[in-house]
Amino acid sequence: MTDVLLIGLGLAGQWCLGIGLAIAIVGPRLLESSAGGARFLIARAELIGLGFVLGIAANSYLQFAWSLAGGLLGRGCSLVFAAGGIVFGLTVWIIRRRPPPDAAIPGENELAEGWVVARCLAVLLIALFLFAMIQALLTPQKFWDERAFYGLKAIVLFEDHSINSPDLKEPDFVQGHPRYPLMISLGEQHLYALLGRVDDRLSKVLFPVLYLGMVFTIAGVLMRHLPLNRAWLGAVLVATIPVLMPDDYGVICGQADAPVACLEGVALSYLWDALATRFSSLGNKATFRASLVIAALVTSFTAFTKDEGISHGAVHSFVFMVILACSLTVRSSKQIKGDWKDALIATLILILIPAVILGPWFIHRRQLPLTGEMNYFGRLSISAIWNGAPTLAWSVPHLAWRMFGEATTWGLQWWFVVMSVFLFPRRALRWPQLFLLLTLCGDIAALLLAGMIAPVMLQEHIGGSSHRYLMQLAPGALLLAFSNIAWHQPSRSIPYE
Amino acid sequence: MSHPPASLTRAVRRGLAIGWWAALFLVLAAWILPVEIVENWAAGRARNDDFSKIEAARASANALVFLRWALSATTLVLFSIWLAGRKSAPLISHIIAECWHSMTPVDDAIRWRAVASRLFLMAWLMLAVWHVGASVSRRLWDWPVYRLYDGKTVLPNISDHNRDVIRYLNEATPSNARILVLSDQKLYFLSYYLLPRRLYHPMHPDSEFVIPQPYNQRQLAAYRLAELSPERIEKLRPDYILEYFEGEPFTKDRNLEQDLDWVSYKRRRNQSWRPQYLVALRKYSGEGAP
Repeated sequence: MTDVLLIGLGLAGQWCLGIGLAIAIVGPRLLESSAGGARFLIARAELIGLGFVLGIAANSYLQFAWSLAGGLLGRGCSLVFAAGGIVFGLTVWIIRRRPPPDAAIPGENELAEGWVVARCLAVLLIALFLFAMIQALLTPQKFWDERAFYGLKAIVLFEDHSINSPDLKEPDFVQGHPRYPLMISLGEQHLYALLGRVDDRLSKVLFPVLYLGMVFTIAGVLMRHLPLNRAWLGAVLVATIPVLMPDDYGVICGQADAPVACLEGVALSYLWDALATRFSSLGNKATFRASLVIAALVTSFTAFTKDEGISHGAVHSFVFMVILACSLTVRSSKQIKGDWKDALIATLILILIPAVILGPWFIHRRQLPLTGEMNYFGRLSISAIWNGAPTLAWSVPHLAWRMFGEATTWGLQWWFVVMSVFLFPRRALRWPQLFLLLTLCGDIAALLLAGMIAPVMLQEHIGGSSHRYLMQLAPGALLLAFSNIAWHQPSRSIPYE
Repeated sequence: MSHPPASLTRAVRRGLAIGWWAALFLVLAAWILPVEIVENWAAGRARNDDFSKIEAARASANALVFLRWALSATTLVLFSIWLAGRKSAPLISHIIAECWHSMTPVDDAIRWRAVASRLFLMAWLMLAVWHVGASVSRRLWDWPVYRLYDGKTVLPNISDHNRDVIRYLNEATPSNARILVLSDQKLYFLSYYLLPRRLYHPMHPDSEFVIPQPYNQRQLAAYRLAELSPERIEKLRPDYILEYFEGEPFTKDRNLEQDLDWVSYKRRRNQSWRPQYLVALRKYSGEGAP
């Protein structure tokens, strides 16, 4: 019982921290509902979801910053962070709480009809979350990555109370990927510190909670663009991607692929939301910027979770800026020509926020050993790419088979993408959809590139990890496919709920 | 609230009836099933020692009791929903109809797009249900082995040799020991489960990016103790030095029984045990030389 209370305290602190951050980013103006013109009306589900997503990641990052500055990790630190998160969240909520809804809300009949289905699907999502949580708690950590790369560091951080532990910097200390980011390790360490002991079953509670956060966040984002029942149906589809839940390598284990999938899914949702709002007749700048800030923040946390997050962030930020630039130069009667100042601000947000957040991590990382590190960026060169080109003859068919031939094992999301583009080709060429499509292509190209330059046997490297990499892209793929099929002209602000 | 088709509501009512009768059958089967059958199955799944078998059998018997009550509660809930069919069936069919129509705009003039989208939705949800069922069966399969223990107790998903070495080192070394390991194995799991002990393993450059295969199907390169300079050893300040080699290039011409404590540990369970691989632990004298 004590363990449950302590873990509950830890999660509550993280959640309140995340909610406080979300409200602080979105701002008081954007929480009002008003007649005429859209506002960034953040649904309750979205706020709850963002609370978990931002909270878990930010808590780990703040503990990293604390330790980097010389502070000690441990039970005292974790208790302070938990209590501090609760105080911060409550304070921001009280200062910026939303006013009650006004008469701009749609008619009661329409509201009731949409909400019955939405609420039932929300209950289903909570049931899926509980199912994932039970599954996670029924097994200890048992896979290679979760123990060798993240769990091991978590225990060392718990025992040595610092990211500057001499053993973490020792090249001969037995640890996998010494330079891997610390989001998961610090998150697990936080729970160990609260519990006062290592229990690698209980530390897995973080992963289903991140999953719930992602699903609720995506539901909220979709609610701004789709009718309620469709938005929640989209969230149910995201929640039931087999490779994500309940596959053993998904959210029920302690590996980093599922958290990256959750974070990347949220980041892509907000970038998609920014573009969809920007190009809608109800778009406004404040909404656009708030979505960008959240996306940039989550992108930074994704890179702080696993190195693939760096590549995902680079790809989707680049594609976003290209899409924005193209949209500003193309004349179309259906699209609003934004001004270049907005594009510049978007670029600055997408570059500066990750630079500020990740800068200290990259500086610290240089002190860590290179033992067993792939060092992709160090190996990247024209000659390496040229020499690795023949690997495509194996890796492209392999990936295609993984995505389409093994769909009953890993999920139908890739068939869903193809089908949605085939059924609704014009929708797929809209700027928000094109952004998702090009991002997914860029991410897959990045995997092929990694296979070309990695110093590991290709079939074992890509063959043994492609399903997990594709898991990281699955929420984005589903968002693309579902929004293509279920696209609906936004006609109103979402109601307060 | 718009009304779903009457045929759908009837189908939902029939589905609820089938559902609760199926649950009732499962509940009766769970209550009638002899505990001994479950205990024998669990003992067969557990590791090959008496302690593990007894633990697995007891845990599975407890799990069966829990399952009986959980299934009974579920059946009661389903029965209540079926009893309240007048209200519950229209609501459920309304949700199904709404989700069905959500897949495309209801005013979509191209009907085959709506049909394709909805069929896809059905396939997706059926696949999801299949995976949930497969996941439940995996957890039932794993239960006798894992129960509710943490990883350090169960030592899951590692080779028997690794498991033995971990348990031996847990006995033979203090919890704050620093152990220099010379090995042709990847030692991540040893390092993970032996914490707070710290393991140091100079990685041979030819093994750095090699993915090991089960049962030594791929021999990794490794440093022998004599290949390490005294300065390198001294820099790590080990309390113990462990030689742990499984590959034939490293075990031939070596006395595999040189560590008498290791041999004694293994022969506690099997008097006739003969070493097939080298495990030799000794205290480090601190002189920088092996």
